[in-house]
Amino acid sequence: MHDSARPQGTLNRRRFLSISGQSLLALSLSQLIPVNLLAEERLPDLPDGLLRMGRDVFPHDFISDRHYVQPLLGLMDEQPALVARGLDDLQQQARQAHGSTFEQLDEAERVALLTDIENTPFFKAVRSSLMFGLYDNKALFPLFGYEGSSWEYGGYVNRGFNDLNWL
Amino acid sequence: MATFAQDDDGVVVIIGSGAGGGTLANALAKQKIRSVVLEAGKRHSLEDIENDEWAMFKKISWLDKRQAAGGWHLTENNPTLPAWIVKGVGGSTVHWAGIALRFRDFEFRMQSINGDIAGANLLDWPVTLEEMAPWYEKAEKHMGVTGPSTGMAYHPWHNSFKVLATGAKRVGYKEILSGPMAINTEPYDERAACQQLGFCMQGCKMGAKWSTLYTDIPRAEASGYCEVRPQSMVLRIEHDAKGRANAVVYADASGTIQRQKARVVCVAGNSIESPRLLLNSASAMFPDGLANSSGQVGRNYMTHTTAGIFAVMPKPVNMHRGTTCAGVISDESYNDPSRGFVGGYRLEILALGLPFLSAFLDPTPKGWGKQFTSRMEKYNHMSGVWLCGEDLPLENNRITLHDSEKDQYGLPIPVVTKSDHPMDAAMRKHGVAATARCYEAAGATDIIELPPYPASHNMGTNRMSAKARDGVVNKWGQSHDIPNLFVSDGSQFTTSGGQNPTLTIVALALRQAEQIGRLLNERAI
Repeated sequence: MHDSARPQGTLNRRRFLSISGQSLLALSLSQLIPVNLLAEERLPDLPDGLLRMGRDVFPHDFISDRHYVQPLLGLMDEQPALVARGLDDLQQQARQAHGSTFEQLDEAERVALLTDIENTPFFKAVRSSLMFGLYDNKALFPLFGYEGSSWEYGGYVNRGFNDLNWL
Repeated sequence: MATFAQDDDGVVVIIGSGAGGGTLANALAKQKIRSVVLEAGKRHSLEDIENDEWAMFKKISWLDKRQAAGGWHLTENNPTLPAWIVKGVGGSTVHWAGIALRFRDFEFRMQSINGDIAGANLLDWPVTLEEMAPWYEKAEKHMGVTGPSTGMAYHPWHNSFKVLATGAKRVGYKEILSGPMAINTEPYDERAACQQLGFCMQGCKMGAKWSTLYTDIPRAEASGYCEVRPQSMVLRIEHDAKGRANAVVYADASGTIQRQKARVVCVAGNSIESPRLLLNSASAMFPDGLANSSGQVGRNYMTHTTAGIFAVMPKPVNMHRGTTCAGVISDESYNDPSRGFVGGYRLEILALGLPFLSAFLDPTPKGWGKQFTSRMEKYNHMSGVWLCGEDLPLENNRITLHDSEKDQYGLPIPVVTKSDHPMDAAMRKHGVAATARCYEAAGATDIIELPPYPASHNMGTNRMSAKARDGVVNKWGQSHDIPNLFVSDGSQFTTSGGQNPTLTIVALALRQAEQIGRLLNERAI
């Protein structure tokens, strides 16, 4: 009963995603997350490459861009110089190594460039902002099968704390 | 609620309000002994407790700057937060698992059983299990520990423990129990029964888990024999010309310096702040810090030998549902040096929410990318274990004072230096492999080893010893050097044992309270 809403379905959803368009994605997820999160609002602009980088740091096909954009905007607000300089360096590395912008490279090339900078304050700041933005985001909890705060529902004593029966 | 004057020199001043200090204050109050509890943090109530991992972390954790040093991974990956403990009334009885295990007999006698271990500073406790047994029973009744002392049933097995226990049985383990826990399974001591909230660790919203925050502290205050002063950060302990402690200097909530006179001083600030305070209290008479004629103050810092192990199972587990740590496998908790290490360890079920799993799954710089996210996407298929094993005392694993960096009170920040003994590393490897075997026997498709979390079990930095030259305090937690100065927290542990420390801290505090009462009556202090 509980399983229908959990990431066991993730694989299914991901396969589903690959063969379907945005509207079907909205349909498939509409029972899981509030509808207003699915509305296709215009996203604020991020500098070139930053969203691509964010999606490479924590790639989740089933999470929409806006959930990456929001924490990255917050980071730019807090540490504009760090982000600008770090992104500049990344784009320069991309051009030097491949003659192209970071976001135009293929995945393996992007991951290799990011691995080179994973110890830098810029990369760590992006990673940290997304870690909170994606995994400490109540709107996204259901996509991972995490049910969050329970005391207001009387805990899990009557909500499946010992319902496992497949062993 | 009583209040006592700053110049009242008849009070016992207790520094810290957690398992040691909070228990002690209440036990002294029952003997009509007056105490002032100075607590560095704020006072929270059950209304403040949320089922939100980061919100609680920010609300209750001790976040004053500390520096990690030495060979442990926290030096790299958590350089300013080596320990994960509480700044607030109730101390680390707000943030704890609730697992309430007694030491085993051999764990008080590690040196005589195993002899000297090269590189370790091993010593027997000046206390035996036989002597502690009645105090353990009192502590279990006091805290409401499931099992024989209270008659409370052990917790029902939740999903995650069903997985671990099934695997454990298949590999031949026999000692499989969902306790003992200081979390009520029925109403006990005016507190409710557990409803499987799943957010035990950083404060039980319904008060089913024992904490001094809503038991010992308010009861001590209600007795009229105890005054608790929150947001009172102790800066130093002072002494008279005879070398007796006689006052405690602290900064109050407004930052104003206050000075409380004292007949007895009990230090219970956990194993980083307690030795730090003794070191910061150095004087012309005690140039190396108070109670430090042995040179052992701050040394022998122990955290338990730990690792996190998470298994991805073929079908959903939903580990977040239910009592976070109600499940212990104990077959490896004996002294069997043939395994390549001394002392034992337990496998303890431990659930993390999605936010904390993301932070601890791989805290190294490699914790990103597809492997990371594919594991996160298996969140609800996971079951997890925390390893709790004997951590050998090493003289150079220690708390020292930073030579230049100061905190907001102007005190040198503590430097927390820790490295593994080779036997610690061997135990960790053994424990991770044992856990993996259990989970694989239950059908795990992926096993993930997490490096140790910032330390919540901190022990040994003011250790007990029979002889003054070997340690800081005697078998009562009383300073060898200064008879009216006591240590009342886990820093008095001579060795760590392979057991969660809270029950032993409480048992020692109850026992110490009786001894302080006796000494006061005899006018010996």
